[in-house]
Parts: sequence; C-alpha cells; structure tokens
Amino acid sequence: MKYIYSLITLIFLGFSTLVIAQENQIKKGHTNTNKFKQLKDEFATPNTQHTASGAPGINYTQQQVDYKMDIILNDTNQKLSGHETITYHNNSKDNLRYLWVQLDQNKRAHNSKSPDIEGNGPEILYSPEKFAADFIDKSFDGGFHIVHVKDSKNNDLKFKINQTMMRIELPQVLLSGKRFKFQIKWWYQINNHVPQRDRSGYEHFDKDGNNLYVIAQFYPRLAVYNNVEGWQNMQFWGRSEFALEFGNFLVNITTPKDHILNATGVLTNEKKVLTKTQLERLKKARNSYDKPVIIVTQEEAIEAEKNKSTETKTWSFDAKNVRDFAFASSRKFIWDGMAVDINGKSVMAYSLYPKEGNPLWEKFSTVVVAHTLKEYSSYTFDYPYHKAISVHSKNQGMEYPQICWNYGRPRPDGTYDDRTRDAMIGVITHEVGHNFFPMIVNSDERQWTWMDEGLNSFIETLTELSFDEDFDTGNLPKDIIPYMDGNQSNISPIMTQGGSVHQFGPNAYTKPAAGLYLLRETIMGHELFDYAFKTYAQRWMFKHPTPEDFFRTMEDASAVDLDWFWRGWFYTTDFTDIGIKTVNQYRVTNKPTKEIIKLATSYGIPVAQIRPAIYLSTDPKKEGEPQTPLDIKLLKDFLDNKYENVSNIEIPKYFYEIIFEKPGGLVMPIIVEYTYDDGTKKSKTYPAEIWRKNEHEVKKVIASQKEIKTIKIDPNMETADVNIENNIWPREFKSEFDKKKDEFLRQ
Amino acid sequence: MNIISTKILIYLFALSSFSIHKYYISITHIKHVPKQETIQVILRVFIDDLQEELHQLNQSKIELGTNREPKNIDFIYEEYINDNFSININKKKQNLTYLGKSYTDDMVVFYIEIINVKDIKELKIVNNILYSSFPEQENIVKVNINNQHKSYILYKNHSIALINY
Repeated sequence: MKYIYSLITLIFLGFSTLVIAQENQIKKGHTNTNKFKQLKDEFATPNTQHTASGAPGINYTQQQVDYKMDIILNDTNQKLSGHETITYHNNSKDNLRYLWVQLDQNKRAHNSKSPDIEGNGPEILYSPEKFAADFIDKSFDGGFHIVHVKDSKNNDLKFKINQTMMRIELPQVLLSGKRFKFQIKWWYQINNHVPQRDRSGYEHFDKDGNNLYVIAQFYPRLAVYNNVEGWQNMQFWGRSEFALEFGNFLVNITTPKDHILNATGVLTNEKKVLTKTQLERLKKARNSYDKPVIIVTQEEAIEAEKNKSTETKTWSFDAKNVRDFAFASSRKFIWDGMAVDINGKSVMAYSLYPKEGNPLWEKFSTVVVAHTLKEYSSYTFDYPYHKAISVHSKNQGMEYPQICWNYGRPRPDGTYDDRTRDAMIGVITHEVGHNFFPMIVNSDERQWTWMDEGLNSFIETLTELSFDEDFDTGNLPKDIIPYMDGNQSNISPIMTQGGSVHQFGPNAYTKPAAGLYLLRETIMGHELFDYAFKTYAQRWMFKHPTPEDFFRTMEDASAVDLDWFWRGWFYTTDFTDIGIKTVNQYRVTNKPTKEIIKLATSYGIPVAQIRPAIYLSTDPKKEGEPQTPLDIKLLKDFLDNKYENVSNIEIPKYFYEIIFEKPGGLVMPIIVEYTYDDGTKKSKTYPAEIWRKNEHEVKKVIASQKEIKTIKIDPNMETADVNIENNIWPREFKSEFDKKKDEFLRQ
Repeated sequence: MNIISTKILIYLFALSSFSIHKYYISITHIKHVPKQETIQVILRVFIDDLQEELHQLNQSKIELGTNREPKNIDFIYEEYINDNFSININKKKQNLTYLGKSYTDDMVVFYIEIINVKDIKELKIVNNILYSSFPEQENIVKVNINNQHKSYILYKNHSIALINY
C-alpha cells in the first residue's frame, strides 16, 4: 500500500512540475504553423462545381466547341491558309457577351511582345545565326492574318486582337444553353521550327529540297470558359502551354499529291488518298499485334523525295471529343503501324519518320507507342481514342491529341549511341503519354504546368521502368536532390504559374514526378496510391480539373492525410534533411537511477521507499547489478506468471535511445535500417506523423537481442534527403573522395 | 551551382519556344587535406560532351559509359586529363595521380590526387577541358584550401586561375 501510494504521488507530482515549468516560460502567442495543419487556407473553397471530395459536382459545367475546317498547305511558299466554321455551345449557367479566341501564331508576329519580356541582358556569346537573328535580320512575320470573322449568315462580326487573344463581339448575348455558329478565314507564313526550336513549323532538308511539316496551334482556337477562371485568356508568351475545350472536328487538308499525311482523328477517305498497296499493308498492320508493319517503305519515301508534284489531294479527318487538332505532312515520310490490344479494344500505334530517322525509328518508335498506351491505360483508364502517332521531328518533343512530335536522330551514317536511343524512347513515352494528361484529363497548362507535365512525367517513369528496369528515367527522388538543394533564389514552389517558374524542367517535370513516385513507393504504397490516382484520372477524364481536385481526390480515395505532403512538396521550396543526432546506449537494471533518485528526493521520498522497478540506465555499472533482464527478479516473476516457458520468449539485451534530428523543412517518414553485429539487417519506417508535435527532434527507444553496429537513415535514397552525412551512425568521417579512393585501390 | 541533367535540358529547349541554349559546363572541386598532405580533385563533365571531344581529338568513334566502351578507357581519360588539366603549387608543376572514374546519370566523375602537398602559397590551375570541341564551354573550379572557399569560371581564352595564399 505504501509503495502504491508513493508511486501515485510521484506521478501526480510529476504532472505538477510540468505545469509549473510551463508557467515559467515567457508568454508569447503564435499562429498554427504546424506542418500537419490542413490546407484550408491554401485550397479554394469547395462548391457544387468542384466538390470537397475532389470530384466534379452536380453544377459542374463545361463548354463544347466544334470545328469544321478546310486547310490548304502550300509547300511552294510555305503558306498555310484555312477557313473554319465554329459552333460554340454555351453549356455554362452564364450568359456571354463575347467569345475569346486564341491566336498562338501571333507569338511569332513581327510585333510580338514575347521577346520584350525577356530581361536577361546579353548572352555570354553569340553564334553568327543567333547574332544575325537578334540584331540584323528583319524579324520574320509568322503571325495570323485574319481575313474575316463572319456569322453563319456571312455578316461581319466585330473583333479586337490583343496580342495572342482575339475578342469576338456577339451580335446578341449568348444565353446559357444556347449555341453560336461563326466563321473565321485566316492564313499565316509557316516558320522554320529548327533554329528557335518552335513547337510547330517545318524543317528543310537541303539535300533533297523537301520540307517536313509538323503543324499545330495553327488555327484560331476557342479559349476555355470554365468554373474557376471564367475566360482563361491569359496571354500565350511562348512557354506555358494551353487550355482548350473538347469538341468534334471535321477537317479537310489539301497538300501536294505526293505527300504522306496523318492527323488527329479518323481518316475518312483513305481509299481516295492511299494507294492500293498502302491500303493492303494498312490492313495487315491493323491485324498485327506483335510487330509493326511498314505501310510506306523507305524506298518509296526516297522515290517520292525526288519529285515535287504540283497536283494536290485532300485528306479528310473526323475527330470526336478531342481538345485540339494537329497534323504532320511530307514527301519524306516512311509510315509504319501496329495494333495494340487495350482490354479487348484494338488501338493503332503509328510512326511517321524520314529516312534520316532510320534505323532507329523503324526499330523503336511504334513499339514504344504501343507499350506506352498499354501501361498508361493500366494506371488511368482504357485509352479511348483509336490511334496514337509518333512523328519524327528534329529537336522536338511536343504533344497534341493522338499525334506528337519526337526527337532522336541517328548520325548521318545511321549509327547512334545508347543515349540517343534512350532519349528517343524517353521522349516518345512522354509525348504519347500526354494523350492522357492533358489531352483527356484536361488540366489548364497555361496556369499549372505541373498538372500535366508532372503527372505525365510520373507515369512516364513507371512506363520506362517497365520497358527496361535499368532505364535512367531522371525522375526519381534521388534525381531531384541537386535541384532541391540548390540556391533558394533560383527555385520556385511547384504551385507557381508556369510562365513565372525558375528552372522550368526540374520544377514542373521532375519535382512533381519524383514527389508522386515517393508517395507511391514510400508513403502510400502501390495499392492505395494506384486506386486514388486512377480515381482522379477517371473522375476528370474529358473534364477540366484544378490542383485541389487532384490533392483532394488522392486523400478522398485513400484515407491517407496528405495535406502535409502537398504543403511541403508542392507549396514550398523546403527540402528533406533528416539525420541521426545521437544514439545513447542503455543497460537494464533494477537499481534506481540518478534521475529517479533525484526526483524522489525532491519530494522527500526516501530512496528505500521507491517502488521496485526496472530502469534503463546509463549510470556506471556497480557490482551485483543484473547482467540480463531475466536477472531482475521482479521481471522474471512477472514473466514466469505470464508465460508457460520463459526460455521460449525473446528477451532483448541491448537498449538504445536514438535521437533523430530534422534540419530540413520537409517532414518525411523516417526510414531506418539497423545492421546487427552478425551482419543481419532490419528496416523500420516511422510515418511522417512522428514529427507532428516536434518537427526538429524525435526520440525512439529500440530494444534488441543483438548488438546494433550501424544505423542508417533512408539507405535507398527514397526521400530526396539532400544531406546524407548525418544519415549514418556511427558517423563516417570518410569523404566521398576517400571512399572512392578505397574502392579504386581495392579493384 | 545546380547541374541540370541533359534530359531536363532537352525537355527545356524542346518544349519551350524560347531560345534556351544548352549550357556547356564542367565542375571541378579542388580540396587540400593537410592531414594526408594531399590535394583531392573531383572533376565532373557531361558524358556526351566528353564523347564528342574524344571523337574529334582521336578521329575515331568512341562510346563512353556503355558496354561498347574501349577496354583502355582509363588510359584514354588519364591522357586526356594530363593534356588538358594541370595544377602548379608554388610555381612547381604537380604530378596528377588518376585514381579512377565513375558514371552518374549523364556525367563522368574523375578522381585525381596530388601527393606530398604541404604548404600552399600559390596555386595555379589550368583547365582546358572540352574547349577543343565546345568554344562556349565554361569550366567552373571550386577551391577549398586552408579552409578558404573560392570559386572561378574559366573560359576558352581565359583558362587559368592563379590564387595566392
């Protein structure tokens, strides 16, 4: 009774000292800066359009825009002209006074303001081409010439062009639920895309005098009117890509008769534009699921290069439910294709390339397209379109619905090294992958580059690793360390508008991709992550999601609180640095330790009256103290009572207190690997929530039967820890150089 | 200084309509370790740039960091470094001991040592790495001697750093 009394007193008094200690502190308030604070302040308030669960709500609306276009590609003077009839469906609840149309080619107009916003001063050095382009040449005028804008009855409509945006005045207010039909006639001078690495244009081949056209962003396109931005009419300065509405396209493209062309949509007059032989080969390709079939051969392409037909032919395409339309055309094209089985549905994978792309292209392009469609479908939804085309284009990696431009050109003698091959496989995977993000999961890239580039680079990474498990994706958490460890004035939070970010590539591609990889591999696990990611993709298929829709869905479908992760990884430029501060070794004893004696005496309790207990002690060992836990009678009696045979149970001999420190701003799980004196290893992951009350330092007590030799944090570099010197105990004082030197000497 | 992987650079200029040119850089860390009486040099260059340079110098195709790499590659590297990189201490040219190399992502990392280094009053670094093929090459040199950190950017016709202590 006495014992129990003193124990209760001790516990009670212990609480009292805690209270007194707190009251002695200087009183100063603070706001909630906890790393686990929910993102209520950062996220937009949910509503019935974009719901709190991250799904589209009952009042979500989206416009539809249909186009009928007649396009003429003039290869003699590289002029592209077109006439389009646009049907705008106002599905929103709002009445509209005007429509905004995007004129991307005006970025290349002689009076474009894009060069005016570059404020970096002179280059370190200039190539003659660059010097001439910057200071001598009259600027190329690649801007749109709008011939007219008329309503369906051929009455002129008033319009105003503001750089890359054109406002069209409606004759009367366009009521909610109504549609408006109008026409635009236009032309522009096609640019050579090679010197400035433009996304659209032609490449000229001096040897045979032919052009290879990759044509995109080429027609006046309706801007998005959505539930969060209203009109997305932020100017196109050149970098931040597009926001577009879905709709149906009927397009006729007239080219020289000897061109081979492909585009977004179903080719509806293939019997008219292809030869009998080509049609037969195409039929074969449609039934070939194991390897590509050549539809236009290299020999035929070389033959076509020699003549420049003055006759024309017209290719007709029908594209349903796409957000954009693009095409590629040239005499130089070799064409191959194969069928891909997507859950029982047949989809075609095609490639178009000049002989300059071979032998690399015939070997890899179509095969990579097919692999990409399968892998992406498994992480999102079954690819809903009928085809995906990879077009060879110098220096280009750019995506449009069902068609994309990709680089990867062997040396003139046809040889290539592994890096050229891998870069090509990487870019084809990436650009074909864009069919899913943003061509179908249609986020707003003008505002948030990362939403499609980051998500796409992430699935690209998984797809590349399934193509070749040793593929250097460059998108893993370890790959983003140099960026995250860099000069803070030169990095931006991921949640920054695309045009304003520093270091575009690492910011919008690698960091979000590495972050999602980390979430999947380390924080959530494959099953929870994949289900949630798929839910997001399927909820927002053919719709316009916002960042919150993604963040909320990932939690909604997994029951994993991720606000701390979004906050750190997406909203800040904080980095991971977790280390081992110290490790204290304890022994087990029944002799009261200094700490308990001090506490007891401060309340006047004699040492003899302290209840028998077990202590973890660092005090110097005295004679007669127990060697093992079982030497302590108190414990032995307890265990004998509880277990039938004590010799069968595992009783730890070694006791450690590990103090983890976190100099980095990000909270992360602590992944610890213990190596024992017999060489065996054990891993343990403490969830990130371990930092919820003290984000600088946390302590863990480890009991072990075997002596621990080394402790390592994040041994497989999963968390992008920028400083690994503090990741190991006992500390290694060997520098990177000395370790490498040892390694070389051993060889 | 961040080293952006070439893959990211490719994305950068491929997806951007701005004329962002690729950066041609190398980074060299030079550190004096008084305890060992050594100078440790770690030199990082982009593999594809070095491959191009060795093509041009040897007039033959070499693949670096792949299974088609020549067997005597360390000899080729050692010779190339000795021809294009030198360190003088107190006006005396030093012997560079080439320890080895490793490949990481898109870079080759060389480990080079100078032994019997005691008192450093003057240090001269000449770095002509990659200038033959890439006139716009910038060679960044970071020096840590007597716990003083200094950093230099060397260009083709400006390839020498001279430091007095």
